[in-house]
Amino acid sequence: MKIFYLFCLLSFPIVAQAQTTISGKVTDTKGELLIGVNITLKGSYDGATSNVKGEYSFETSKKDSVTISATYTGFAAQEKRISVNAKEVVLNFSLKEKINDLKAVVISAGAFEASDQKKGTVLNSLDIVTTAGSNGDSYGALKTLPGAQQVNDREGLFVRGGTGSETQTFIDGTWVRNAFTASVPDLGARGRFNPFIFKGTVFTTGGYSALYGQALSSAVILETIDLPERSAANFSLSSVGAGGSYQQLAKNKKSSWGLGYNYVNLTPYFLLVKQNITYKQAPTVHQLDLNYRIKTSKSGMLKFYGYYNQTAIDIQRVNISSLDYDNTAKAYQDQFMVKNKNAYANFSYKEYFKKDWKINVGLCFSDNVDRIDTKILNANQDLIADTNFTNKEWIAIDGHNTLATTKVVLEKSLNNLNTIRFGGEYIYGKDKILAFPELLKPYVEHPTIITEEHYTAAFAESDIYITNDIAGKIGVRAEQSSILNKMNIAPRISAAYKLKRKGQISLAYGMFYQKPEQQYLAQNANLNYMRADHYILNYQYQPKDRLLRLEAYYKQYHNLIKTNVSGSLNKLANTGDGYARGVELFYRDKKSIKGIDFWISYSYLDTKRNFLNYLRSVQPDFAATHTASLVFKKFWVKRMFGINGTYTFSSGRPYINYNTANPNEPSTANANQFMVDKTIDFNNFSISCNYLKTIKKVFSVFVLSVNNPFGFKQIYGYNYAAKDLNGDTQLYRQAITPAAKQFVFVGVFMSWGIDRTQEAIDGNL
Amino acid sequence: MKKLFFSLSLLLIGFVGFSQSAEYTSGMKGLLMKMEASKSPEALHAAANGFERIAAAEPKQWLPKYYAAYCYVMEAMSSTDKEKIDGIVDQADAQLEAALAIEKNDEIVCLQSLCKTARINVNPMTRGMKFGPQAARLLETAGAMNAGNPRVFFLKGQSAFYTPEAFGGGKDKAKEMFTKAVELFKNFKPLNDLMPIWGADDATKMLAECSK
Repeated sequence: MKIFYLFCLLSFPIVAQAQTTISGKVTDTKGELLIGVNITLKGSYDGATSNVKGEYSFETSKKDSVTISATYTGFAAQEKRISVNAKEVVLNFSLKEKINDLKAVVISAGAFEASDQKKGTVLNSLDIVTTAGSNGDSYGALKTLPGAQQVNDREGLFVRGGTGSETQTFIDGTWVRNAFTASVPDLGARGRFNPFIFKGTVFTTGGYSALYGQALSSAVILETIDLPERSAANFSLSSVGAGGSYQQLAKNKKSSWGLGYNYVNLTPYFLLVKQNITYKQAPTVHQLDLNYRIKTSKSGMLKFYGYYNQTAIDIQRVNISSLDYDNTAKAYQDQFMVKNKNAYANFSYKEYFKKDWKINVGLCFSDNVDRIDTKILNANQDLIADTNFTNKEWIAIDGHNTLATTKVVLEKSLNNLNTIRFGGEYIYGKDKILAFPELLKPYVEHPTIITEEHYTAAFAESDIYITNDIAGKIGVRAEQSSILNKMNIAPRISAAYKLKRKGQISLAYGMFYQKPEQQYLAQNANLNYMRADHYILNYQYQPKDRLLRLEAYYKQYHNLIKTNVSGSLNKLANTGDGYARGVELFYRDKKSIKGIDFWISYSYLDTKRNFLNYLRSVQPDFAATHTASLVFKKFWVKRMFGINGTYTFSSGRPYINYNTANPNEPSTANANQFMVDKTIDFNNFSISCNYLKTIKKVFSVFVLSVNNPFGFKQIYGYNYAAKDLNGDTQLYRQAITPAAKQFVFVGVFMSWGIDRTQEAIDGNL
Repeated sequence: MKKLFFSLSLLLIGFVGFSQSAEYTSGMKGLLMKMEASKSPEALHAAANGFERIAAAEPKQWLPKYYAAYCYVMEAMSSTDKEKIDGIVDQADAQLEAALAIEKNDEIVCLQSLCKTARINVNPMTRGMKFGPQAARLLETAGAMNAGNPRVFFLKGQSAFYTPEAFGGGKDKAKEMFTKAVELFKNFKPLNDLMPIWGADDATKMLAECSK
């Protein structure tokens, strides 16, 4: 009985308790309404979620002093202690936004990023390989972005009035010396890497981080993939060659290795499709790839990527000087043969330590051997030893360069995304050039020139986040080159501010140094670093499925290399200079036209420079004032069929007219006439179709792509005869064009996935 | 007196225990009904918040965390803003991690698989390659823990349905899985009325869709 009484007593207050209504409004510190905030009376089930007006309301039977908390992702949780004895209690919250990488502003000045994981990126990794006209070359896809020039007749990526050698490539943080395949003059070169091995690409058109150096204009920063999702075997067959690879993921999913071989030979293709030059040997490439990746701990990762590449090309073109001599009968041939062997090994290691420290170590070796041979042959293929027919300095070169690089970056994460990064870099390079210089005495050895270089750099950088809307990066880089025997210090600063409604403004400033190219360093002149100062202003607006970028920049060049400098011992000096400025636009839209993803790039470039043998400061022959690209992609999921197209336009480029102002004869040349002529505008269209099909568990992709199907006339410049041999006071000239109007690629890529799911389960249970 | 005190305290403990469990059961049931009725991302988010409140008050129960995660995944799946998906799925993953620390079971692993699938939606072309196999692996693990879980087959069917044939999916494969799921759902008896039961209606609907 007593117990029953007690029971009643105990339960009575619960039943009889008066309810209190707690209500209020939730905003952020700026007064913006917050929807979906979880309001909880701590220790109970009572609570509510703020609605579209930022309001909440709930009832509780709790009495006296209670704690109410407000929690919301991306904001600091808030707790308030209140008394709930009244019938109604009003309690408002004002939450402070946490700085986090989902919301924080990203500095976008000068950087285009292709990544699948990070936000705010312009492209994803698939975009790189599905851009029509890129033909599986990462650099080809980057050429459709603003800032890049449509220079297809020379090696390298030409950015914002810079030469091809002003763009450098970095893999997992370390510099790659020979990023492009061996090539012959006027035909351009491809990147050496298979784009599928990278998970992220950053293409900077200026103002890049202090972690990278020795690139006056642009850095292409590539990050290799970590462990693959499963083991797989791949095979490919195409109109240019065949290849196979195998990738194995260990049972415990902690390591993987892969091996690949690719063979390219254009002989069959050139038999079918006539080229305007004679190939004694069509481009032939053997490439062997190796990779090994291992998780060294829960957070540590060691990666190895390496390849060996062997390329041979041997062409014959009509000697232009012989055409000047007699443009019908005496057609001598210029033979150009190149054989290249290139080995590359890259080790990278990253690990996180206690107290938010992180380390990145890169170790890289490369070895490159070039054998270049040029000859002038008559119709019977006999050697012609007559200096009248060439102005080339060398007839044959044996080149050998070895490189060892090491780079260490330490990173300490402070609170609120603030980070300090610092480290050092050391590069050892050895170059041997054995040249056979004189045409009249073929193959008389010139002494081997050996240059050795010890390059060291130290850098420090700090990411500063004031709020999610304001961020900055301050960095400095110091470099020392043994061959120049000089040091430099380069500051880098950038900042971003997020505007209301998905817009943001970024600024970047930086000083960038680069050593003169190897051919000038080898001449042992007393040279200095070349320098470029960048100023960039960027606006980005990114509503859902659309992106608009506008960028304006100014770049000032100092200490560029001048050749044929009178009074200088080696005729070389750092007396050149120049500038580049422009406005660029990028617009990507996945929404406006249903099912079609497209982007438009436009670059306006105003640049002049006085360097090399230039007679005055002019717009250089690799720079076009207007460049535009339209890239579109359409994929029919039901049919598993896709079409990608790319149209590019570039206004005419200046070229040296040797008949009006010949820089090789500066004393008689009329400098005012130097580089006033321009080529015709450049137009190109590329289209590619992909069809995906699984045939008996083999995933296959069929590709057909055609470059320039409409046959636009493309002229990159003109080659002139070395001497006026027929005495008509005019040097004969010939347009520099692609080797064929069109290029057609047909191929099939097959993949056998090896499912080790069952093993994985057994391991996990 | 001692005896009385003892029985009183026993009773009290029993009473407190009973009342808590009753409050838990009714609280959960109320939220489950609310969850069933929630279709919009906002409503699902509010339901998730409710489960999170119970989860905070009942740190030893895995079910509130499980349902909070379920609501988050559904919110992510129904969200029209693809940029928000990762943030929401992160919350679901955190709840499931915490649930697994309490009890390791096939339902939680099953939901982890759904989280991976939700992440694919951000960009199927680029993410399918990564998260597709991860989602499939988790379903295999859940199936190995309990071969009779109909939701494993339902989710397998769904991923096959939305994966193009060229990538190893297709309607035929999906139909096979949905048939198995429907069959298992018929005989599925949850341990108690708070245990997961979702998927039965959708499996039947999807099976009909495959047969079209």
